[in-house]
Amino acid sequence: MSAKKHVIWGSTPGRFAGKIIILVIACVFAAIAGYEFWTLRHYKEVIVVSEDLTEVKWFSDYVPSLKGTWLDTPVFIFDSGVEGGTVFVNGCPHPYEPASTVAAYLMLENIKVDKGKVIIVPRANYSGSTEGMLGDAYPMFFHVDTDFGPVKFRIGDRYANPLDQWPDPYTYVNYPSGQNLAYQDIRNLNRTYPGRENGTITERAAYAVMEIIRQEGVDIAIDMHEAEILYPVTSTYVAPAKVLDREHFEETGEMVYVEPEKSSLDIAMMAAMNIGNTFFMKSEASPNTLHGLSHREWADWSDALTFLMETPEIFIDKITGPRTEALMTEGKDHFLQVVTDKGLTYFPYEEDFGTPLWYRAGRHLSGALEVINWAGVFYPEMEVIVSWPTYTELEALENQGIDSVGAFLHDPNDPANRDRAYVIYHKPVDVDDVL
Amino acid sequence: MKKGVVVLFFLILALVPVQLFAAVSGDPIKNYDCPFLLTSAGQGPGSKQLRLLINLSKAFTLEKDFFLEDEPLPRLAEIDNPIVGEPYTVLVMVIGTTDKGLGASGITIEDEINNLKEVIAKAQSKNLPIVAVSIEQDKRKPGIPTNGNERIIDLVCPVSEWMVVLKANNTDGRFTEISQKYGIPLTIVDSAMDFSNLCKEIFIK
Repeated sequence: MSAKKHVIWGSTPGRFAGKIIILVIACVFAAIAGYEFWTLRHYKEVIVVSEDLTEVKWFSDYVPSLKGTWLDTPVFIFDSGVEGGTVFVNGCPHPYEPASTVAAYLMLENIKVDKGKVIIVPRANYSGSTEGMLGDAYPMFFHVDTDFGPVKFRIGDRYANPLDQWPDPYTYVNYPSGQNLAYQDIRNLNRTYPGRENGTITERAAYAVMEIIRQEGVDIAIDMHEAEILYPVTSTYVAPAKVLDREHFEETGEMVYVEPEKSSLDIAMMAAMNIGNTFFMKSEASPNTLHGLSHREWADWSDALTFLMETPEIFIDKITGPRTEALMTEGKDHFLQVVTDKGLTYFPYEEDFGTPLWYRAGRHLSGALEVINWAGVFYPEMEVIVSWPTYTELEALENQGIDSVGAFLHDPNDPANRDRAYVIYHKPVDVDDVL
Repeated sequence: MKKGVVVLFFLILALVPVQLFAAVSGDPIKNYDCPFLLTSAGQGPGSKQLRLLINLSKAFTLEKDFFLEDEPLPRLAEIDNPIVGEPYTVLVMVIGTTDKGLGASGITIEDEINNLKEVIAKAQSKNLPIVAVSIEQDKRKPGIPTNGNERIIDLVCPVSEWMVVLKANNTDGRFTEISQKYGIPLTIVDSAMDFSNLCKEIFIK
């Protein structure tokens, strides 16, 4: 009996007290960490949407079962009322590539549409933006300077939050290709296309994107990403050279790829060659056999011309120094300069300049406009006349010492903007409850 | 009078050689009769870019004046049995590996290089001249001889009779060095977009 007591309570009152202290300290750390996780998960970004806004829908309008989940997200529609093409811009498919979201916010706040319709989703993987990469230590937020004070944005993860979708399988099998992918890719929005209406919530979000493209009659679909400079496909447009013969697949189940009637790759190549005088950009054909990605599945399962854009983001390269907020917003790292000097990176990296946030967001802004313009040249019925800040405008402000991203953001607390202020969250929230 | 001056201006403009606008430098442009065969050396999208620029010139018709065949086995057959109905006068090889599709499509760089060796051998056996073109920006890895692009440059350029290269791809003098070593003419183009006008100078219908 006494031996049993010894095992449970220790031999002395001092040891017992020590254990209690350790437990209390652990609880304090857990509480601090829990508070930080809660803060990140529930932080609400507020933007001021352009006066050209005509309608706000949600992913759950296309896939009702997403309502109330953390993968529901707002869809902003700007319809000029003038007949033309329809553009879809997908922001934040991978939240840890935040120039994608920042570019989408700059579009949303400043867009003018004179012909056709533009649809913008700023946070396609909302769930993934509510956590950091598991096991990676880096800041939760980054800040942009504006004339109304610093504005805070989340950095986020690559995958949907495991709090929202769990457990992962041993191997993820993409539907309907049957291709085996890494287990965590079941929470990767850009590996789950074309999605399933009754699948996991990530697959349902992917299906919602497909339904937006199909139901809204999208002609030009653009997916905004960022990539490591040690990864070959950085600073690149990716577009399909061939697309799935859907009729043949439905009849036989066999995946056969054919030349499309209208070529995304031709447009991507022209856009890359033309914009190459402003910043380095190349083009790549989407492989027929790599499934689940937007540049493959959007084209295979809809009639839209599809494009994926990558900017250089050294924050997610694995060999950098400390992952600080400055690394995210300025992109200056000596280790990457060393490997670039050895010819091992796929981007002409210069540490003095880095890969600042404005540069990456500006590339997306002008990269998307270039695609839209060339699509209109190749296929006049798809013409969309749209404007938002460009790379060149951002660069000009930076040369004057002005934070160009902040210069194009509007103050949601300004009474003149208040009725256009919009909370970005996984469900509708009144702006007065946040500001 | 004013109208006459404008007409004269455009007349002079029309007579000025295209090269003056195309920002072309280096050795003189060579000429080839149609039809010509385009192919990729490395499976990158450069050959498709060149086809696009040729199409934009509106001067040539695909499957009549030229043809594009990138796939390894079909391009060998295409040299023997031209889809255009008559023998090709020149083989245009656009250098550039793909960063996205080579591995995923099941072709290795070794497969591609071995097939290119066969293509070159076949072209040489038929006295089909080879023009090496480098149009894709920053595909190169100077100083890394094992890089796919560098290996293909070493394979294709020395057996070509002319090289047409984007200025940005020769900043380290790589192509100039090959030109001097093998006595191969080298023409430099400032912008990829200039190829659209340049092709009208090169190919004769």
